[in-house]
Amino acid sequence: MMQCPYCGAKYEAPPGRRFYVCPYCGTVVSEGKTYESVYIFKPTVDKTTAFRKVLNLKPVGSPDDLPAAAPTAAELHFVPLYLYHITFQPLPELETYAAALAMSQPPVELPKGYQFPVRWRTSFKPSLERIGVFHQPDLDPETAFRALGDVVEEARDYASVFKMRVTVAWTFEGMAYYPLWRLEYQYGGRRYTAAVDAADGTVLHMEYPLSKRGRAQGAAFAAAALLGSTTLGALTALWISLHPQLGALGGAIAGTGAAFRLAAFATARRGRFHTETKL
Amino acid sequence: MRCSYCGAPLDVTPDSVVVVCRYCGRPNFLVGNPSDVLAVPTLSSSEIVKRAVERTRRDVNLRWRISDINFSSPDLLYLPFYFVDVKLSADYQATVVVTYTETVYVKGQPRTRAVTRVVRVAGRVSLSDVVAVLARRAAWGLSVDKLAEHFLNTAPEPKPLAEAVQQTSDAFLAAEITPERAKAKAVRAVIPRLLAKVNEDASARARAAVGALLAATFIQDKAVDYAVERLETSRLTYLPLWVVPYLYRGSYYHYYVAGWDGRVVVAEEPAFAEHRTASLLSAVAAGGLLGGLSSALLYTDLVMGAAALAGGAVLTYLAAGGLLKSRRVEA
Repeated sequence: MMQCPYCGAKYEAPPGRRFYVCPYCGTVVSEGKTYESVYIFKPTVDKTTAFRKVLNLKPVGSPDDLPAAAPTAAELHFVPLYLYHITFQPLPELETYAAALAMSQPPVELPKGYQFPVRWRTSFKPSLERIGVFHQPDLDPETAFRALGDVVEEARDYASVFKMRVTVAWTFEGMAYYPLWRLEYQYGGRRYTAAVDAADGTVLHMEYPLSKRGRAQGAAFAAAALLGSTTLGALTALWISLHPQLGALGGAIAGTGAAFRLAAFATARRGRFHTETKL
Repeated sequence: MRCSYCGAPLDVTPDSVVVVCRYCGRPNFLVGNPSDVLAVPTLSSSEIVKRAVERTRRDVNLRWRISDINFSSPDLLYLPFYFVDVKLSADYQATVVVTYTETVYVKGQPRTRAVTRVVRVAGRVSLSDVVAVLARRAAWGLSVDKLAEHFLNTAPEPKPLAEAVQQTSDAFLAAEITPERAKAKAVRAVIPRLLAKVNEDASARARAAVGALLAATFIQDKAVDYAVERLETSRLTYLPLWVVPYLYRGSYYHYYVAGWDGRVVVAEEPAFAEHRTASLLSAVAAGGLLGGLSSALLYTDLVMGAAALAGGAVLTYLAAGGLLKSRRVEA
């Protein structure tokens, strides 16, 4: 058992870990040191708004009546993140901040390299535990840091240009909890899932039903891309005084890229939307 | 925390920069000396919506659909920045592979042949810029970059924090990093551009050395020694960013608007039929032209022809992505 030096609560503490996080106030204790810089990104999007954002997103090929789909489950998850300050000696100018997921199996899949938005933070209040699930980190900061390989690699690339070997050192700056909605809805007897950033309302990803019209459009686009590319290939060959049949074949082969992508969309069991740019 | 004027309790969060007391209405500054912090005053919320509507009226795609668009009330965020004036210089030595074609005459007949030469060059470049550093850890958004860029282009005058704060005290986001760390972040932001400039300079010197100004170059190796010549930071400066939602046929989209002049710095918009048509046409053009031209290559070089065809297939695959997008971003 461990007693939190900040709020006095007692909690289970498996031996052998370097970091312990109080499940009541979020204070981190490591080797006798207390880290109080634990904060929470404020959830500003409620369940109704989260569903509205998902069902009204209108991804390509979704049915017009998707907003009338039945919400079946909604869970607000507070996912733990570790914050690091990373330095590269002897090149102090390369120092940077980075955040890494402190869980090995997050309840909501985050896009790779997800950039957290610039939004408000709030301090931990026990009342927040009534609206969402606070997840305990199951990775220690050393293990979670390995996910930041890209950041370290980028700095090493720069260092190699300066013909220097850098030593990577990091300091643990604290923890943040990030709120994410995991949603489930039903349409036409099938269940679909979605995830929404509860701090700024971005739909991170969603599964959705594909309408007949959406599939037909996808198939028509695939055929148009293939046909157009074949015709233009023949014309291009004719223009440079070659056999148009050979040009048509070339155009058809090059057009398979588009045709494959569009046909895969038209025949998929369900549509998938992923956010691309963090605004 | 208690109000320094009337002693009433204050609602404080980790992002509290200035808290207006609910009882006496006076602002309490939690950022040390507020005169050391600057903020750019913002237009009012109604003025921001007005500018957003004006932008919609001018937009090529949205102007025809404006009757289907409804704007909602916007949210204000005051983002903390340091503006760092940085000048770096770099001495370098590089090995550059230069490839160019030259015409030789064999028995009076002109023939073109490719020549590859390896050249060692050395030089010095410098780069100076003002870099906007967001004073938050591990947070980013496209609108943050665009807002700072628009600030540097338009240069509105920041005022001391106490003057800029009216009833917008909840909108401020606390700074998390010190000016020293902001300086380091600025240098890191400039280093890739400095290295790109080294590549450019080394390529130009190598081309000049072989006397072929249109030659293709490849930097095989380089050693760079850089020095920081100037590194000064501004005071912490808050910039107002408004997020303006609008509803188009049941779906919400957002404008990100600079608070001082109402300029939309990032606009999220629906993808319309005209955008899908453009994507389809670009897929057809890429596939048709590359496919047709590679058929000529197949006659002379089978491998190159096959590579060009595969390249065409990849290009059309990428172009088809535009047909599957429901939203676009204009920045």
